[in-house]
Amino acid sequence: MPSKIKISRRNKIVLFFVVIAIVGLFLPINITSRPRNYFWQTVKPVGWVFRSSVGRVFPFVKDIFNLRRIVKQNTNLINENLELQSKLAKTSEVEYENEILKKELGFAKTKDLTQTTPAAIIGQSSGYLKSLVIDKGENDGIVKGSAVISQGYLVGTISEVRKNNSDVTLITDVNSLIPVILQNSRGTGLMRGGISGLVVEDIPLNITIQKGENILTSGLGGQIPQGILIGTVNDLTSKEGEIFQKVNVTSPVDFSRLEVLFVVKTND
Amino acid sequence: MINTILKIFVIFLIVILQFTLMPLLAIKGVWPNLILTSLLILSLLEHSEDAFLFACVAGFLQDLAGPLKFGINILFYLSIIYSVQYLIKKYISEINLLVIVVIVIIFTLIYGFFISLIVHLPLNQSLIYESIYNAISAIGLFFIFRLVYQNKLLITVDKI
Repeated sequence: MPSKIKISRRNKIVLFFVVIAIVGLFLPINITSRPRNYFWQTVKPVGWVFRSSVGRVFPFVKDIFNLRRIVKQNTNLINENLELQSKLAKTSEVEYENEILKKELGFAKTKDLTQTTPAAIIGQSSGYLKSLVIDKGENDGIVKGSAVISQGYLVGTISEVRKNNSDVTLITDVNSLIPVILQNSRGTGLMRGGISGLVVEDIPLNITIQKGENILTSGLGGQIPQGILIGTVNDLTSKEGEIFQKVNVTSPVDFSRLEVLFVVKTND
Repeated sequence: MINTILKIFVIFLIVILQFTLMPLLAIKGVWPNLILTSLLILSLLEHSEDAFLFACVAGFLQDLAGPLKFGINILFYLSIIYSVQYLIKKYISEINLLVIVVIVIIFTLIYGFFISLIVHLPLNQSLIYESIYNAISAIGLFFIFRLVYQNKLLITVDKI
């Protein structure tokens, strides 16, 4: 007579979770979107408390060990600020002149087709993928692929939208791909993230790239509007014989200290 | 029953801390993995019932909230417990801090390698930083867990 197999309570629970896990592996990834939304809604207040307490104290503690660098950086920034103020004055004059000329020629006033929505960071779900969870979602008009900026610079794009929160893939992530344009040389390319930093690839060979020129979003394809600043050209990394040029990009944004983000919504 | 609910609540808290607090403690872009470290310590301290509960609940919550396919973390965490149990049975005669540090480093590297493979991420030195960060946090967690189990804080709740 066959003996009855006894399964302990622990093994039953383990078996139950193993079955759930195996079934889950074969289901589409968006099936967990609703529970994920509720999870992050629950976590939101905790995330806010930690961001406004530990998130402010810990970077300060780290800075104490880098005082010499910070003093040097401060001196450079003061000089840069003075330089930028004089440039701003000149630009304002040019802008004013431009508007007058447009009026004379009968052009309609340029409308800003973009809107920004402020969003707070709730947390980060993975240390391997450079992504964040923000507290704005479908209910706030957020669309997949929208640009996310911080301090005026592009920091990421919306990769998943849920009802009340969304995932942001940072531009430093290996899966990030942004169409860009080099401001002075007008060369276009694709910017990728990754362990070697931000890199713009596929720039045509006939373009003369200048070190330090700005990199902006080109607005080609997707939800990202053109003209959002990303960073500056650091150096040319392509080798002889390659059919495209490649440059390293430096962003002034410290991606480990992001606080308030702005999601750019296009009104087209 | 109350004991199990309390344990699930503690696991839920650890998962929330992992997603909200730990990224704020990042050094060189990496932060400690509280879930993996806690699981390894529970397995090494031979609290297998709790380790299995931790693997199932924490893995489930992490799969639910994270960007990976559902089920990956549950399966990986369960296989970690079985691997640690095998190692204890075959090779480890005494559990001390050194053993914990070494095991945490090895399993962090394996976990990192496994996840990098899934998300097509090239291997880099941040994995080494993470394993060191995990090993340091494991020392603190080891004393916390030992204190909890020695004082039987969780077990006494059942008797109330």
